[in-house]
Amino acid sequence: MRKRFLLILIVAGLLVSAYLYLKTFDPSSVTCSIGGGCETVLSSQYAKIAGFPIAGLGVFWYLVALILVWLVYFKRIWAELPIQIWLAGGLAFSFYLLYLEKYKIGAYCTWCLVSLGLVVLIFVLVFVKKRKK
Amino acid sequence: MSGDSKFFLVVVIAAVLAIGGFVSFSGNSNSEVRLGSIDQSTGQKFGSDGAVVKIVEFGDFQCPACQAAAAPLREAINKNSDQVQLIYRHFPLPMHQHAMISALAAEAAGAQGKFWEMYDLLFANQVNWSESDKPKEIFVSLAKQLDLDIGQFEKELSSNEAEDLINKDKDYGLKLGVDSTPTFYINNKKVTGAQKVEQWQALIDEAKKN
Repeated sequence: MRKRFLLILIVAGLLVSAYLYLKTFDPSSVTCSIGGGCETVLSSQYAKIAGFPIAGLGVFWYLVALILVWLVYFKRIWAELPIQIWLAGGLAFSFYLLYLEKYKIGAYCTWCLVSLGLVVLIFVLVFVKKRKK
Repeated sequence: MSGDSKFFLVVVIAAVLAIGGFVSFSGNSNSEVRLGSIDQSTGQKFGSDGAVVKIVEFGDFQCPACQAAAAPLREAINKNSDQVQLIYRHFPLPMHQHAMISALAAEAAGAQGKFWEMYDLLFANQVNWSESDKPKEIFVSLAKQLDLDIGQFEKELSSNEAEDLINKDKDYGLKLGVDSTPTFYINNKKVTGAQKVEQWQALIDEAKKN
């Protein structure tokens, strides 16, 4: 059951980051909205690193996580360590993005927060079982 | 194929279909709403009063999107001089802590006939004062660059009348349904977000025809 949950969470994250990636290029979304919102966050200077959208990094991160889940839990070819390292990096980066939203942009994007929630859940699913062993 | 593999495949295919579906249906979503008529008499004006095309902008000087929108719009207006007038109305957003004081700085410069010069300077220096604890000091230094009477500028910066005017602009925007900046009304057509010069030209040409 756990690996199926993992898969669904990662695919959900992939959808969310793909949506945010597309929104980054939507000209009408280059606005600042009342109460913040994704438009504000995605049109801020922090939405891109060296011209590349952070949401695109999100798509890449979820894709790699998907492959890792496949190799580690479905095929059982790899040990858990690579996915654990990948998840820890993703979690740290997600919290860094939360910091940017709170202190640098001054607005929150719901879908970015959903992605953070998904990363936390994926992290818990992978690490909690390990403790039970 | 095992049950797990089938499940994996089904979930991945569903995801690909969902993304594909979103891409094909998202298209150009620039919102365009037609309204009765927009009040074009109030606000700071740039360009000829006799212009056939009037663009009313609801903006916030602390909004990065408004900064991005400013230069291409001015370029488009300059290309179509005498035919387009820009009318600026304030829409300070609640999450921008210096939105109101920056609007006051623009109005204070406007009281000395230099609203648009301050408009340009505020956007050019947005990064500096947005994150500053003392934006007022930066605004005063900008006012000095514009050779404004500093005593009068500082007085206007804390003027209740100017603040009322800014709040009236915002209330009017809210009444129209403005919920983000920049929001533009090209004659009566609503467009949100920064536009490129070519996009402005197309919007201006369209407004001229109607």
